[in-house]
Amino acid sequence: MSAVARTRRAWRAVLWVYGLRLLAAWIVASPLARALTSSVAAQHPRGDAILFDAGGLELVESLRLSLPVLASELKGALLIGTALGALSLIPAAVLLAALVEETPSGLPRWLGRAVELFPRFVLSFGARLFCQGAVLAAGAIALVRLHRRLASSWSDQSAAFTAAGLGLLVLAAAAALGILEDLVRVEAVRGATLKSALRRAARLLRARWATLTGSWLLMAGCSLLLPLGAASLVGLLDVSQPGASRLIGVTLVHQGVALGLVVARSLWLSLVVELGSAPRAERLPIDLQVAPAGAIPAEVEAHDAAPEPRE
Amino acid sequence: MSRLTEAAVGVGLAALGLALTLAAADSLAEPAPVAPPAAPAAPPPDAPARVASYRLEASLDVPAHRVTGKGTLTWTNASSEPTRELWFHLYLNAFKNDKTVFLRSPFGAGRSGDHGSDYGYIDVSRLTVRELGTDDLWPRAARHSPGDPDDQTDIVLPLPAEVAPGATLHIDFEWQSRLPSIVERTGYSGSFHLVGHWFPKIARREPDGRWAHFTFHPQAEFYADFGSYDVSLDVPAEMVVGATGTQVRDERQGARRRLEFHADPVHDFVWTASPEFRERGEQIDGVRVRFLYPPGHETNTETAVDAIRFALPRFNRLYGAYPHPTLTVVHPPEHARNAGGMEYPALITTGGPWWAAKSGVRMIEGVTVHELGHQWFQGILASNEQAWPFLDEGFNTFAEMRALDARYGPGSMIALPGLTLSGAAARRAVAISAGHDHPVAQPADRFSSFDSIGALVYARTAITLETVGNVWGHDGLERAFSRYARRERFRHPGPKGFLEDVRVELGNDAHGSLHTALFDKGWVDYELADLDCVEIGPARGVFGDGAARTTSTGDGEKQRSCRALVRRKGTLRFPVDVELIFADGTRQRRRWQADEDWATFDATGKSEVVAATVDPDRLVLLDENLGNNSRRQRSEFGHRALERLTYAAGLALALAGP
Ligand SMILES: [Zn+2]
Repeated sequence: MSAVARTRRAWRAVLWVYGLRLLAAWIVASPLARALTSSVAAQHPRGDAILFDAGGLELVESLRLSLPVLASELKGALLIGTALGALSLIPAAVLLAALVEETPSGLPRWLGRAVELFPRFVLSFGARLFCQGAVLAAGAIALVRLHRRLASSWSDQSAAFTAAGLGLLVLAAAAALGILEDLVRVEAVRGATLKSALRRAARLLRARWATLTGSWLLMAGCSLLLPLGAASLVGLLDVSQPGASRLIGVTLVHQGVALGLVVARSLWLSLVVELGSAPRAERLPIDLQVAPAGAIPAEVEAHDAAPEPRE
Repeated sequence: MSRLTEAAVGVGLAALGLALTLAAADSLAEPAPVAPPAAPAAPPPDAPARVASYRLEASLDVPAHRVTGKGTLTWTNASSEPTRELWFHLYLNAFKNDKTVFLRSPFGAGRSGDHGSDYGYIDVSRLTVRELGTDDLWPRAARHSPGDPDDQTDIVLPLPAEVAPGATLHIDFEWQSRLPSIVERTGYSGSFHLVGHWFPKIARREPDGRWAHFTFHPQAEFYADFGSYDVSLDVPAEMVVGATGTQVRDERQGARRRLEFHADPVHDFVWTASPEFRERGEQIDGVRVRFLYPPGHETNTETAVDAIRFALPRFNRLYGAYPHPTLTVVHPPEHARNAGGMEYPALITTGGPWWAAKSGVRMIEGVTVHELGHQWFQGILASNEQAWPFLDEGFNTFAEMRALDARYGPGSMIALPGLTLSGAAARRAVAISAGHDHPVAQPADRFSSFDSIGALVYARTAITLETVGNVWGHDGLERAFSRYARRERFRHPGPKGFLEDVRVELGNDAHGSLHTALFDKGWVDYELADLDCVEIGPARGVFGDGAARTTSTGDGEKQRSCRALVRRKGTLRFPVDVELIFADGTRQRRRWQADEDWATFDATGKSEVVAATVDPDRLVLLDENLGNNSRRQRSEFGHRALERLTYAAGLALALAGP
């Protein structure tokens, strides 16, 4: 099955992830919006359209006046956002469960799998964030030092480009950790314990690094281009002008982007699933004994009917 | 008289006492007083008096970051009083050690924000006055600034004889300067050198005989007399040099290069040297503009060229013609960024990272137009920047803001997809956030910090002038500036003349408001305090007598009677509009002169007033709170803000989430 077909088949899970993310975003944004509009916009004849006026006078004034409230709401929003972000491991697992299964089922079964997988997902997510944080922090320190050293003797631009080169390497390392975790998750959904999932993921990454990197970059590129394209479109719609249709138009564009991001990610995960269940010659050994009894979905067991001996 | 000048007089008297003591000890063979020439040639009224002219010859030792030089200062006592002393500013000594007035100030109080890593100083080795004999007079000079044994930036030199009003001295001197690592827009970084405050510079003597001398304070800038400068510089041959004035000679002598510059009339001379500089020249509105920039800054330079192409003709038109044939625009490399954003006569420094011009933030345009504007307010008008910083930085920030608005529109500070920010909006936020507890018009060292100067001198002055222009007309304000800048050219004006020009062009109200805003901590807050409507119908009851008696039950068409209550708080008064918006979509504007503290605006009709706003066009940028300027019958929920923030939170969750 192609990645596209796999994603298309899991469309309900895709919508589910999108819907829950929209809900989480709305929960995070509501108190901030209330704080921002309470000062100038609430009583202004044009309402919060003035916040989008060219020149930003009313926006800056709103930020200035609501800063104390906004700052405390922002702390709350960060806290809630972090909690909701962690909880969104469940929809992430739902999506993977839907993508991995060979026989179509439905939300109750995906949800069941997601709850089952939650502890493993938390662990792998935590480990990935920790490692990424360490890589980024070390990279940032190295970057600042390198730039400082180069800046006094090299031209500004060469120093910046060299530093940017190192920065790209750091980002690539951080991205590789993200890719690895996606691979681990797929294996975990297939029933592997974290340890063996990690081993298999690393093996798959080694074996198919070019395909994986290429398709990940494609996904990341699309995810970057979508909001940028939307920004210019939204600029044309200009919600500072009166008319509900403008707001509706902007909402559609933005939510199109949000849905597009989920679809792009689903496509990428589908590809990982496909690569993981590739024909025998390329396939990775599935380590049945490592997986807890009964944790392996039927389709995976069927696919891996002749497991290779455990290493 | 300002509090600063009182202090200066006090310090001056103390120093005079010291000078007289020293003079008494050295009075064995006192030369005759220096008399003025028989018929002093009076300069034409619009030309500057060349009070302090320099001929300098200097050599740069790059590895040691040292400048060695000799020179002649031709100085005229342009005051009405004789003098027995000369005051010299040795401002490079501000960076001599951690105990100087400049470096002992809590850092962050200064403009450049960074403490240099290497120290700098200036040593005068010999000073003779031709009219007073051949003796080296420098040993008589005070060892430190008045009342401050740790500072050597403000030095008095007692003279063995009196110098009569109108008399001219020819002062020969030799000196050596050690440049600090870049601090406060002077010094070196790698092979880049910006050489400012590098020679012993005489302070300005006011017409009444007071010396306007002061130590190098981290919050203050400069003040000096006009003169002509002929400067000869000897540098390594690979150095590209930019300087105040016009290059008149460039001669290679083996591994060295000798360059000569002429500048007239100017009140300071600065130069820069770096082997890395790329160069670009362009004739703009009759001025040869020379851009020096490090490799990789081509786009920044293109942006700066564009900004000067727009701003130079504009400033020429508004404030009178730029008086020099050349202007040098220097973009320091990133590692010397503290050299950026500074004005010297006929030479300005811009700055910003190599990608600045592509960032959507108008850093290059802002700093270029700002420093260019200083050519008028600092370079040509040359007000006392220590006593009246707002006359330079404040007026210039206003000039910059208007120019950038005219050139780039609402995105004059930031122009990103979906977000524009104007200079006025940003300045207003800074100015209003800082409060109005301190006057704008006060000496630089009276401000609590440089942030306070930033908010009051730069931002609040600009916003005050913008408000005055918005309310009483920018054309009139431009005319006032034009009169002021043309009349006071080369005359070191104080604030009075400009305020008078505003009175002439815009009237007493504008003059009064401007004066209160600048000198008396003026502030204002307009408020739409209440909006209320009641239903009224035909009157009920019994009307008339006899056969004409009728009874009305009040049936018939009802009307809505609405009242908006508007208040003005604070000491400033600007006439404003009050706008009433009716349920049927119609609008009514009424003028309120704001002579009283409050007023009501009534409207009766079929349609009720659903919202009202005081100052709907946001002309009064000095208004402390724009959040209380409107009232509506039903407050609106912010759908647009919620949509945008929900989208942003969704993106954040997608990026950082699992
Ligand atoms: Zn300035």
